[in-house]
Parts: sequence; C-alpha cells; structure tokens
Amino acid sequence: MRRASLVIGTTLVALTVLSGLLSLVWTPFDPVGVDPRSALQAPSGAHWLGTDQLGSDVFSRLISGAQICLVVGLVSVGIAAVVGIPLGVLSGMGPDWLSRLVVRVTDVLYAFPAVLLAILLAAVLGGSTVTGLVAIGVATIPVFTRVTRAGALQVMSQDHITAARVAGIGWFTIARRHVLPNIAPLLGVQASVSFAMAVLAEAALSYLGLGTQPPTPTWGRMLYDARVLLFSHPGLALWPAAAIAAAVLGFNLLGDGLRDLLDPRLREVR
Amino acid sequence: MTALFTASDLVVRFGRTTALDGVTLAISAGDRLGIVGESGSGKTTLVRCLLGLQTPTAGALTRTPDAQLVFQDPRSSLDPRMRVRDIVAEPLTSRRLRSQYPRAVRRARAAEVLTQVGLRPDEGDRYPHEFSGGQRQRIAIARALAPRPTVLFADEPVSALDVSVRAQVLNLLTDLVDTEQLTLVLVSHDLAVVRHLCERVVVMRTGRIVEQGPTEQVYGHPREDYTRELLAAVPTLGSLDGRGPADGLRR
Amino acid sequence: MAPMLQVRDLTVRFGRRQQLAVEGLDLDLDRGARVGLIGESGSGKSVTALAIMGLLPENAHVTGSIRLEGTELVGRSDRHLTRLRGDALGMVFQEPMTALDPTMKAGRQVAEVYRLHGRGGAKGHAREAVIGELAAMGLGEPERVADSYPHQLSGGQRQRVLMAMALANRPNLVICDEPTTALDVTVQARVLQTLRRRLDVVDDAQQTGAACLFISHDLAVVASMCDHLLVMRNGRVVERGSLHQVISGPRHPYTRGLMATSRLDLASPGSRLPTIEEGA
Repeated sequence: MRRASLVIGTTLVALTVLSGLLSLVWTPFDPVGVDPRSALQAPSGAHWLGTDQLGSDVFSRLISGAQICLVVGLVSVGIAAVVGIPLGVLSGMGPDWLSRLVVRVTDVLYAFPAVLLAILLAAVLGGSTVTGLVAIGVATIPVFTRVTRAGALQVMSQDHITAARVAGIGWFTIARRHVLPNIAPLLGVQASVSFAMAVLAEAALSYLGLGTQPPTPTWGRMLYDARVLLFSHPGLALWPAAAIAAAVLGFNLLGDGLRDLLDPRLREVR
Repeated sequence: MTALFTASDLVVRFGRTTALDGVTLAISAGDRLGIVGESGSGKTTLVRCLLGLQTPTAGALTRTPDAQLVFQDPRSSLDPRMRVRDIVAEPLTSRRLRSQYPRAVRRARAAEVLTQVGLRPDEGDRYPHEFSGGQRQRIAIARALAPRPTVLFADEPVSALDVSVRAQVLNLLTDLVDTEQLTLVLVSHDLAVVRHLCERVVVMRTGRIVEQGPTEQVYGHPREDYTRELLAAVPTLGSLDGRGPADGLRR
Repeated sequence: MAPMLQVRDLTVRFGRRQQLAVEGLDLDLDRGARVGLIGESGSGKSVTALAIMGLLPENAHVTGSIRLEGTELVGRSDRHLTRLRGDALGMVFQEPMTALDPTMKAGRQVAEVYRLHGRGGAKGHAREAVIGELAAMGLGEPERVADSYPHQLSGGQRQRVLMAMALANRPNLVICDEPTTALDVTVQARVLQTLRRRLDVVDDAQQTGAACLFISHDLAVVASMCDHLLVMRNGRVVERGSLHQVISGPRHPYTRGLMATSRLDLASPGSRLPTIEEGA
C-alpha cells in the first residue's frame, strides 16, 4: 500500500513534468492563439480535447499550464526553503531567546495565507507571475521554519551533538555536519508536500486574477474562463480541474511515499 | 599531585530547580574516581560543569580542557548518517587540533584507535546501525581516545548494554585506563561497576556530596545513612550459590 | 493437578520474512508459583510475555499452545482475551510513563480497571477501593496520588500505580516485564518489596497468592522474586530449574557464562572479567 503511494505519486508528478517540458518545445496548436471561428468545438482528431470559447486548443493550453505550475512550485518552495531552513536551524540550535523570537515571528507569518499576501502585493505592484511566486513563497516560509526547528531540536537532543561539543567542534560545523544531514529527509518530504500546496495556491491565485496574467495559460485561469460555460461545456472546466487535482495529488503522494520509504531505513538493525 | 579539576562550592540552578547545591571536589592526575547517585542527585550536572558544557551559577571551578566523554546510550551517541571512521576522527577536526591532524594523519589515527578497541580498521567504512550495542560503545570509546585525552569521563558506559557485553566493555576500559594512563571519572548508579573500576568514590544526593573516600572504605564502612541505604538496596545473589559475600557489596 | 498455565511448543514469527522470535517454548506455571524468565535483549522473553497476554502485533504468527486453567488462548478472539486481561491476567510493563494515559488522573485509571470487569459498584465505592489499593501498594499519600496526573508522579509512584492496576482484580497470573529496570536502585528495592507482599496476599476464593512470571535481564532482581528460573537465548529456553540449581550449578555454557559475568560483586576490583564467548 505504501509503495503504491510512491508509484502513483511519481507517475502523476512525472506526467506533469513531462507535459511542461513537452509544451516548451511543441504544442499541437499555439496555446494563446485565438480563432473565433473554431470556438467551442468538441474533442476531435485535430483538437484532442476540443477548443474553448476563444477557439484556443484546450490540449495545448492544458499542457502549457504545467509550465507555470512547475515554475511557481519550484521557485516558491525555493524561497521558503532558503529563508525558512536557516531560520529553523537558528531557532533549533540557538539560545532560548532567539528560539522564542523566531517562533513568534513565524506565528505572525503563519497568519497570512498566500491569497491574502498575493492580494496585498497585487494591489501594490499589480498581479503577475512574480508577485504570485513571492506571495506563495513567503506564505510557505513558516512551514519550513517550523519543520526544520522541530527536526533540529530532535537532533540536538542526541548525544552525538554533545560529543561534538565536548570535542570542541564549533556550532556552525555541528549544523553543517550533524544537523542538516539528519533533517534532510524530513525537509525533502516537506518540500514535496509544500509543492503540492503551492500548485493549489497558484491555481487559486490565477483563478482570482492575482497571479499570472492572461494570455499566459494557467489551469486556474482556464477554470475561471470555463465557469460561465459550466453546464453547456463541462469539459472546459473538467480538464484543468483534473490537471490541478492530478498535480496536487501526485506531489502529496510522492511526499507520503518518500516519508514511508525513508522511515524503515533509519530504523536500527539491532 | 597535579589537580586537574577543582570545584569549590559549585552551585547550578535552573530557574527554581537546584541541580548542584554547593559541591566541593578535586580530581588529580591518575585518579580513578567514581560518582554514584540516583536520578536527581546532580551527578550529570556536575560532569557537564567539569566538561565545560554547563556554566555554574555560583562557585569556583578550574578545569582542564583535555577531557573526553563516553555516553550511556550507544544509539544516540553516534551520528547515524556518518561513517564510523569519520565519527571516530571528529574530535581531531576541532579548531584546537586541526593543524596537528591533517587528513592523512586523522585517518591513520582513526584506524589506530579502532584497533585499540578491538575493531578492524576497515570496519570504519560502515555506519553505526550495522554494529551491535557493545560494538557501538567501543566506537564511542575509540572516539574519546582519538585526541589522546588526559581525562576520560564515562557516564553510565555499560548501563544500556546486555549483561554479557558489559564484561567486555569493562575489560576494555580497565585495559585502556592502564595503557593510556588515563585519569578516569566514572558516573554510575551501578555500585558494582564503580567498585570494579574506581579506587575513589563520591556519593551524591539531591545536588550535594554526601560522602566520599576510598571505594573499599565507603562500601565497607559507610558513615552516612544514605550510603548505607544505597548499599543495602542493591540486589545481589549473595549466599545463594554458597560462595561470595552474603551481604551484597560489603566485605 | 494440572499447572495453572501450560505453554507447549510456543513459536512466534514476525512479518513476511517469518523472523523467529520464540521457538518451541515449553513452560509450566503452578498456582502461586514464582517463575523467573531471564535473558538478554533479543532472547524472546518479552515476546513470550506478550504472546501469553495476547498482545502481539498484527504481523505476529503464533503456533503452539497456551492453556490458562485449561482454556486454550492461542487463536482466541481479541474480545475473549480482553475479558481475561485485567481479570485473570495482569501485566506490569517496564516504562510506566508510556503505559499510563497522560491525560487521565492516576486514580481514574485504576478505577477504570475495576469498572471494566464489573466490580465498580457505585462511583463512590470505586474511589474508596482505589485509595485502598494504592495504599496497599505502599504509596504514602494515596489520595494525592489518585488525584495526580502521571507526569506529576515520580517513577516509583507511577510503577506502583501500574501495579495497582495489574493487581486490582486479584488476577491469578501476573506477568512483570522488567518492572523496575527504569527505577533508581533504592526505589527498586521498595517496589520489589511491595510486589512480593501483594503477590502473597491470599484471597478468600484462592488458596494461594497470585502466580508470577517475572521477566528481567537482572539476575539478582529475578533471584529476589522467584523460586524457579528459565534462561532464554535467541528465542529458545537453554536452561531451567529451581533458582538454587540454576545459579549454583548451571549446565548450559551460556548460563555458566551469564552467571560468571553477572557476579561483578565477586570479581576483585580492576581484574579482567570473564566474558561469554560468541556461539556459546
């Protein structure tokens, strides 16, 4: 059962990644191309998933949407990791007052969901892929801080850290040599799960018009465009929804599968 | 006699809890000192102060930095993600010793101490989880020996080990203290282990030293009630097999 | 008369790879008898105890026979075993902190054991009985202990609460798995004394006190509690006999080695200790 998670998760993620990569070099039709005469066609040999109300090929838009999804996921998780992990390590290893300070700051940051941050940023700088990225990234920082802190605290309670201190090893070296390698698996799992959340957040933002702006195809935007035609042409909403679900599920399952994979290996032989 | 550690009226407080309540103690070169006490006696806090891991709240303390420590739990005392040879060589990478031990010398020294504790140098390529509890404790001892310390602290070194393995590790410690001419400070709740390795003993209770002196004397003629209680509480096989002392550790 | 507990050819395997934990174990426990099970980690002693109590995890395969008062326990449904546990069978574990519910007051946990087996009576009566049990366990302030949460109690107090729970319904058989290993030596002495006293209590219904299967790695502790001894190694019983027999005249090389290394109090200080060779 656990292995099934890993397999399904990896497959879905691979599908998403491959779509994105493929769309970089080839799409059947121009994803932003408009052709009013071909509007709202049913799936056919030419247009595998049909066309939307502007005549754009749904399939092309769908696989292109994967690009934004992946870029936003990667960069926002990257931002969260680059800021969150060092904060977490400082908090887990440092003196009490520093630890408490970081926790307070994290709590404040936690209060801001990505959407709220995105609205704020969009109001000031106008909606774009970058503001979406930054909003999601900043909103994900607290999760990484918290997870890193918990992991670091656990490692710090181990005797091998005390052994290093007795031997006169400096704090920075302890962090580099002992703490980070031991929490790396934990962070890998978190990255995967946060990626899933980022994809979802991006979809929400572009649905609201706060993130990536049209005509760049994103799944959230496709959903938004399809809402008026929900009952007449359900397929237009179904495909992007399925894509979002598949990507989110895929990354979540990958994270779960990784967590289970890493656990038994860490268990002792005797 | 060179005094390596002197503590005068050492006090350590954590908030409202007092871990050490005025401890005065001297440890000289060549001593084999045992610190016995139950949980809450302050023995661990005392060792942490002596090793420089804990700053005393009050009192005076002089210490030598040339001391190493062997821990109780062979599982958490070795980094599961590091190879054994890197674990053993780690003390040689400290700021103080770095220049003395470049990479090649470090490797050689690691192989040397691994052999000293009864392991093969090629076993240094393996990871801690591939070894048994007793072997891991040997690795921990090898790590402590690598920087050629003057003093070896051991905090319950055999308590977490199986009975059959304890004897091996105790023998190892006995041999090493002799060949390396180490000053030994052994912390344990196990009175028999302390009697086996230490010629001097300090009995602690609720942050204070209750009694101290030569082991045979303290065990044979305890002056304090608590010491008597401690000695009497130790379960022994006594006269069941017709040999050995009937009243536990006292002779 | 047939022994109260009769174990025949007990074999326990774990998981898909069928790892052998216990192999062909035979054990007889008479009413009121005190039997010690001694062994190191991996010897299978705890697995044996859990098998008798029916507390093994899902992936355990048990074959053989465990008869308690003539009733076969192997293969019984969990519901049936649950009724036995706490009633005819009691168990005291090593880690009192994990065996007790941290969110429930100690007194309530003991009362729960009563009520589960239908001896609660009115709520007020349960409290009286609980205080009585705790006092009988040698706890100085039984009311205070009953009203405390586990984390507010010391290790020794927690262990006595656990013992009160195990003995509350006067079970015929009490299994103790390293009950004092986590305790300080002076506390251990007192707890063992209390246990001995409680086990000896003779109920009106029974003629003798409770039978006890005492599991430990500590030879001296086992010796203070038991009349008979079984030595386990790698899942098998390598030696059995009366306490005196096994300690003064061990026959199996492993037992001989174990006796030699356990007698640290006999060795002269600083001497080399005898060790058990691998494969003994």
